[in-house]
Amino acid sequence: LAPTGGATGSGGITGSGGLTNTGGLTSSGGVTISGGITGSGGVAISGGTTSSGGIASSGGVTATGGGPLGHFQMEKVDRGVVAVKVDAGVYVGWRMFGYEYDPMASNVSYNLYRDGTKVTNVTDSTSTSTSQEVGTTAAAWPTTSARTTPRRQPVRAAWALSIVALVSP
Amino acid sequence: VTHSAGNNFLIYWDADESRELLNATSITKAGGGTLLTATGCLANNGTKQTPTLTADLLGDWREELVFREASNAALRVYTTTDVTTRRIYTLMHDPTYRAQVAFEQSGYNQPPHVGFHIGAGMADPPKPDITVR
Repeated sequence: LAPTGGATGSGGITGSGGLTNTGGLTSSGGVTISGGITGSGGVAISGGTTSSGGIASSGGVTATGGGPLGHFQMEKVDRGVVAVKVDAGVYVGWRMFGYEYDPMASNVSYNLYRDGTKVTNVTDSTSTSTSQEVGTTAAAWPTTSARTTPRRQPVRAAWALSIVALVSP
Repeated sequence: VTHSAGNNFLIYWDADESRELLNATSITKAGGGTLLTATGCLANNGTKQTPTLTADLLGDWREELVFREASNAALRVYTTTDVTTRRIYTLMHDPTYRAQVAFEQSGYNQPPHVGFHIGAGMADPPKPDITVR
């Protein structure tokens, strides 16, 4: 840093005494204030930023099973599994979370369970909906992302028809 | 006389990436037939004939349709049963779409749009820059 000072010395070298104002620049000693910049130690305050280490704490957020730390705050929706009886069997659909998305679709697959028994692994070829030949909507159809920590989600809505009526109390 | 296929609401309903037409209590496919008739339900706002809500509420990225019953005693939620091979993350994790769903209920009721292109020949959707809470 002293060499830097030397550099400011170069300021001095300008010797332009007027430039002594440069001295003012030595004030750049004020710049040393930039010492304040060392104050970037102050930045270290942004050490608070390192606190972003704290943000890393939001790693804690990931810990809470959340997603990544992107900009827009969205809702922590659940899997939204829906099972509807159709002529050919049961239609089952569920959500892919935004933070699960990978353009390489084969990197994300889901296991579909019926009453605790794995029925199928759904890959990109069958999207996030499927029609199963067997079963009724009375069974539970949880899904789990095969890539992330397995966590089964209960069926959100099992309908005999693709209609559900929400009757006010 | 040539009539337009319809110019009211739009909804992602069947298996392909194009939206269907929604007017009053019927979903029709452009150039095709009627896919859904919500018998026993009513649309809103007289001549506007708008639904109570369209949004990606359940299941995959296709949209659910909410109507009031004609008796005003209940709300009904309709969902698709068409299996699609197109995989898209929930539209509710697209910030543009989520805001549009909110304004469906707070201003002129118009269909919600996503912040990227969904349609025939679409590119892979962008990875959303989101966190969840």
